[in-house]
Amino acid sequence: MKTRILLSASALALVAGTAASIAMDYRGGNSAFGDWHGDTPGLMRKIEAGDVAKPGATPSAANRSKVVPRPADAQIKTMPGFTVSDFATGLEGARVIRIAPNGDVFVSQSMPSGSVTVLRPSKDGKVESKETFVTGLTRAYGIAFYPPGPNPKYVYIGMEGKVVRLPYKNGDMKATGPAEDIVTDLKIGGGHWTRDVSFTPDGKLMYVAVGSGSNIAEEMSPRPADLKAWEKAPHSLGSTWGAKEEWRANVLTYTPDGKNKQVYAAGIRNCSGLTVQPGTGTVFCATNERDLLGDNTPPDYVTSVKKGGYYGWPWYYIGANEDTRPDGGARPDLKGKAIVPDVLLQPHSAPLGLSFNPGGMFPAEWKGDAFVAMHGSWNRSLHTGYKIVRLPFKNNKATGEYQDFVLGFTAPSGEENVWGRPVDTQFMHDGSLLFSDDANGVIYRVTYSKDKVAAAEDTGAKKN
Amino acid sequence: MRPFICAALALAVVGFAADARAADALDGTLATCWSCHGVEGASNDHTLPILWGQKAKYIEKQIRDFREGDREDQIMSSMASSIKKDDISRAASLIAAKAWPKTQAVAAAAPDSIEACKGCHGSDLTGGESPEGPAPRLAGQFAEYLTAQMEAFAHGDRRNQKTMQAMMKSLKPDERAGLAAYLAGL
Repeated sequence: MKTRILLSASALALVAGTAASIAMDYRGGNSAFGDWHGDTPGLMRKIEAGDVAKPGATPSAANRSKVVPRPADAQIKTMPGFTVSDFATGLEGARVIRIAPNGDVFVSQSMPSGSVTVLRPSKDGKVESKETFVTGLTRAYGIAFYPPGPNPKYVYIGMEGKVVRLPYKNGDMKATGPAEDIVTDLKIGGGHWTRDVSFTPDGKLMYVAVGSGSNIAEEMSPRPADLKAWEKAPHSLGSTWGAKEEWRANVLTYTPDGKNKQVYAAGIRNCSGLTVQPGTGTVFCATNERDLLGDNTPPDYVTSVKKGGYYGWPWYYIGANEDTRPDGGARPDLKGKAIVPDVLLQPHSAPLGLSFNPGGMFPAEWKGDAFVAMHGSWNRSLHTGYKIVRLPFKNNKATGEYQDFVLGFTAPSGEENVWGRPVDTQFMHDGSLLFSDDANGVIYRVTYSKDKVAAAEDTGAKKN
Repeated sequence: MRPFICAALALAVVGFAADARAADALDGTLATCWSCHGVEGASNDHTLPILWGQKAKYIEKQIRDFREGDREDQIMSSMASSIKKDDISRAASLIAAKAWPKTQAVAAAAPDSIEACKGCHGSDLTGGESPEGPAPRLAGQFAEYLTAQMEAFAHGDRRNQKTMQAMMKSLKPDERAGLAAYLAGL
């Protein structure tokens, strides 16, 4: 199904704004799938569980993107009324962004330095000063302020094998004490190294996202003799086992002192972006699903995460679709028990970070919507992802749709090239949106002005 | 430049999934390797290394490092984790037993710093042993791949060999490029 709405407006770009007509499409069913060639700001998609292609129905390719410097004439594309500009450059390996209560912007630079950098914004949205908060934390990734609220005492950082914390008070741009080990038993290996961290609104529990140790659990030790017993606390329904996969493909909870480890949810292959929804306290994950089943199988996803919920990995995906590859045999007992995620995304898009729009700048009806950064594909014949998308929410629940919002990083000179790989999104106190790019080490800022939409409509009317 | 895509994964993977425990499962696994690394041992994409004829122990260590996360690469982590633990050694031997392919690279002058490589990589630079484990064949490898790896060691992006990290850090970018050009032309 395809409806077409024509909006007459200006495409505001990084370098120069040019008046143009933006075609706003809605695509569902098979037409929702595709590569970057079909991306357009404003295009809305909805992928549903019934649309998922069978393994092997589409080809499977290894198609690594090649990062090139940002071209001099680079044009970021976005929707009418929005402007994308550089907030900070020269931040090699920029990954997770978090905003401190005082508005300072914390950015993890996972590789090679393992740093967290603090950028202090000026009133007009530029960087006024910059400091290294901490460095030398291997693969520093997730950042969380604790306790939640206006006066945090610590900054927690998820990194290789560990969660550490450093002393913090509002206004600090350099850590005033050394990193203290809080959790030291996070598993490493298998390529899934991002460790995002967040707290419940009451500060009583810490969430830690730990991706799987492999693509599809090709190797697990013999299964526990009594699976029912295995799936009781501290594990949960669908928990994997063995040296490589126990405590993985999980959202874990700990108390803030790093004790009382529990599986909060299982079967989430690689929750690279973990966020607590403001107002509801619901945990959300942006998840990278499995490789090597074809260009359009299976969808990546963003979902609310239920305590004790099982999301399919490794035995099932997107509900009851079975994967026969895991080591140690099938799990018919789990059939029908895997929760279908809230928002299904184009397979292999690699959604990483997500954040919720607190309101204040973007269109009023977008308050509460989620914005997701897609790092972009490798396991696809033609690249997909490499963009920021908007996930509409109604009454705090995702509608299941998603909309192309910021894009244009692909193929500046040749299909294999990209000049931006979005990693995380985060709203500043003024309601503008920051997103990070670890390809060329940039933090971009997206602002919105109603006047610009009106001006563009004027121009359009005159032309017509 | 044409995009480089290894598009033959589907068949190999479907075959592997359907018959993972059959005696010839390893052929399916290796076919997946060739789909990117070249059906005649050398890829058209020179950022990917030549594997055929590489030292078996070195290949084995790299597969294990990719699996364990000691060496990081999005694609290779997924690929290496799809090889059964008991098959790694045999897969490495099968790859090592093939003939090293000849490339089109032209001979380049030997930089002075090449002498320091020979202690571990062998006097003819076709691989050897180091105190930290097996050292790969460098002679005839693609210059693009060698340069990328030397840069990765220098900047800490590749961390599975401490001596290489220190040695590459001590060189300037043009010295690393000079070494790569010489090694590729051997």
